[in-house]
Amino acid sequence: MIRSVVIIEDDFLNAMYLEDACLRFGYPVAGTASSADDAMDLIRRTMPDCLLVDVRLTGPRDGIDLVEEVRRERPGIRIIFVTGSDEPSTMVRIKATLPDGIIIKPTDPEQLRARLKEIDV
Amino acid sequence: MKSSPNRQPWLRSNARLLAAMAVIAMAIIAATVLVGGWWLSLDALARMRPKYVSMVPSTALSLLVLGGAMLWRLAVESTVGRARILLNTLAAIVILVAAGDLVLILTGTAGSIDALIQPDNSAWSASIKAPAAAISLLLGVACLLTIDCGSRGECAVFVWCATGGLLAAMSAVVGYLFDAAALSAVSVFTAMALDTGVAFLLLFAALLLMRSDTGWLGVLLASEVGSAGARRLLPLLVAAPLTLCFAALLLTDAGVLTANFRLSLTAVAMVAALVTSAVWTAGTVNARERDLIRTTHQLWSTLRQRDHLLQELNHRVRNNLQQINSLLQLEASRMADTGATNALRATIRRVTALGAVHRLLLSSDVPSRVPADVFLKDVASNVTSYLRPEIGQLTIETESDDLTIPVDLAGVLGLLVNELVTRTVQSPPPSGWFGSLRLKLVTRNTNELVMTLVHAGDGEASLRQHRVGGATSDRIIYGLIGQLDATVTPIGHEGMAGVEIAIPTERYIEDDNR
Repeated sequence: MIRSVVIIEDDFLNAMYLEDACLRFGYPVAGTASSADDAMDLIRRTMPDCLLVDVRLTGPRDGIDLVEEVRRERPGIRIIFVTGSDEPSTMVRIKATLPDGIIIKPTDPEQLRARLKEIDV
Repeated sequence: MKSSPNRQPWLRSNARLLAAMAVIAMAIIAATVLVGGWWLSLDALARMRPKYVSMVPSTALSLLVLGGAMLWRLAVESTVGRARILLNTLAAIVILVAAGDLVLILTGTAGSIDALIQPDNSAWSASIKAPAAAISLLLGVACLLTIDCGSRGECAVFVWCATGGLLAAMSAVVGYLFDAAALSAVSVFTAMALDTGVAFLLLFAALLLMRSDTGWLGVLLASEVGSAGARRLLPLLVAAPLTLCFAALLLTDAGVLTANFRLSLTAVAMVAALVTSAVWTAGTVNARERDLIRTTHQLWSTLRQRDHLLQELNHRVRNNLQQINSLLQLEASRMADTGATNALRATIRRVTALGAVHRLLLSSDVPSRVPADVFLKDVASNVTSYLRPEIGQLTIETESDDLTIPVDLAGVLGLLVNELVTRTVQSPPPSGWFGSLRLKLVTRNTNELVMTLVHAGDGEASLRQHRVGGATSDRIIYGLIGQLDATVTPIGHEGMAGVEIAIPTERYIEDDNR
């Protein structure tokens, strides 16, 4: 059951859109972060059930580094990558984190809804 | 670097001219010996070096015949038909003379065929032909007969014969340079006259030059780095042994060196010369290789930078499309007016359809093109995902030939598919949607792409559906069709309806070639 979602996205407009979409689909958003460090603080504070993560973030660490750290602290958390970076090398790194979903930008809200619904068990 | 390895060597570009000059020089020597030496009995013209043997008349005549045949071959470029018959006839004459000479010498009947021609002439009847000269004549004929070689085996015969003849002539000439008397002392076989040796040297050099594209001369005269290095080394490799040996001979004659010390000194000097040349070549090749490695690294680095730039650019484009999408979604989700919301959602679908090209471009194996099957699936999947609430369980089946589409065309096709599918699903048949829409992209007549969209229903209804004027969607559809120079044909048979759009592809092929 997804009780709250945290959005980690360095682009304000995209973060706003994802937040809006999650709320429309009935998933409360615990907060948004644009860097891996801010995201870790937010995750520790709000303990969300699901993360929507972009690969490119502000700061030295990217979304994949963040997910690797989150996985160590909270192995059961649901993770959906929402990214425009689908180069083979990046996809290999993403898949190594065993995400619950990968959505390639530009994002279709129905795709997001379907993915959230699928993992909301 | 002093010379460009890719430039054709001077010797190769002037090989035919040099070959012709060598043949003429050989013919002049033979004619001089024949006319001045034998008929006019001018001893100085018969012998290149006084007191030594001279070229016999039959050799001079044979060389003239060979020379004539080679000049003919140089003039006609290829030997087919009559030219081949003439060449074979001349070759047969030389073969008869050389073989006759060999038989006479080996059976001890006479010194040469000349003795049989003029038995009463003491000079002619006493003339002795070196078997080496007769064999060289046969080698020359063999070269002439295989000069138009095409197969590897035939060319090998040509090269081996020409090289063998060249070495035989060289050993005679070099023998005179050092000590001609020793030649006869070893065997009568090697006692080729100096003028004969020089004439054969010119003959075989000319033959090799006539086919400078094959054999070791082909390798030596090639434009690659290895050949350039070998050419630089060649003068040293030829001159060093000759000079050292000649110097050793002079020093021995002067009493400075004993014979054995001369040999050891010559051996050491030759080793030093050859090792120096090998090291020098290694240095040159190493320098070139370092240049090559540096250039390759620079190219790789530039390529990586370009790849990175392309990825970054692609990422930026997608991000911007996502931002546009986000803005439109945010607006659409807050609108109360259904018409305005629908218009915004239609725009979002169009932006997403345009984005499909960028989604696939980087993963494509072919630059500036996207794979048709993946592209169609991607566009169809996006449009059905957006329209899911309206179309229920209706699905889109896609099918395409194994082809890639240029980016320009893919962008337009993506929009077109989006509009056609949207228009189609928004006008359901009276009985409602059932089954699936079928979207197909195939090539026809090699210069036409045909896209069809069919579904179960009435063909006329479908055509009307796509001809409704006024709506933005219709304006886009017919605008894009006009842009593609495409023709639209309604499909309506066996309970299926839809449209076929035939797109001429010549202009995209031209774009690819540009």
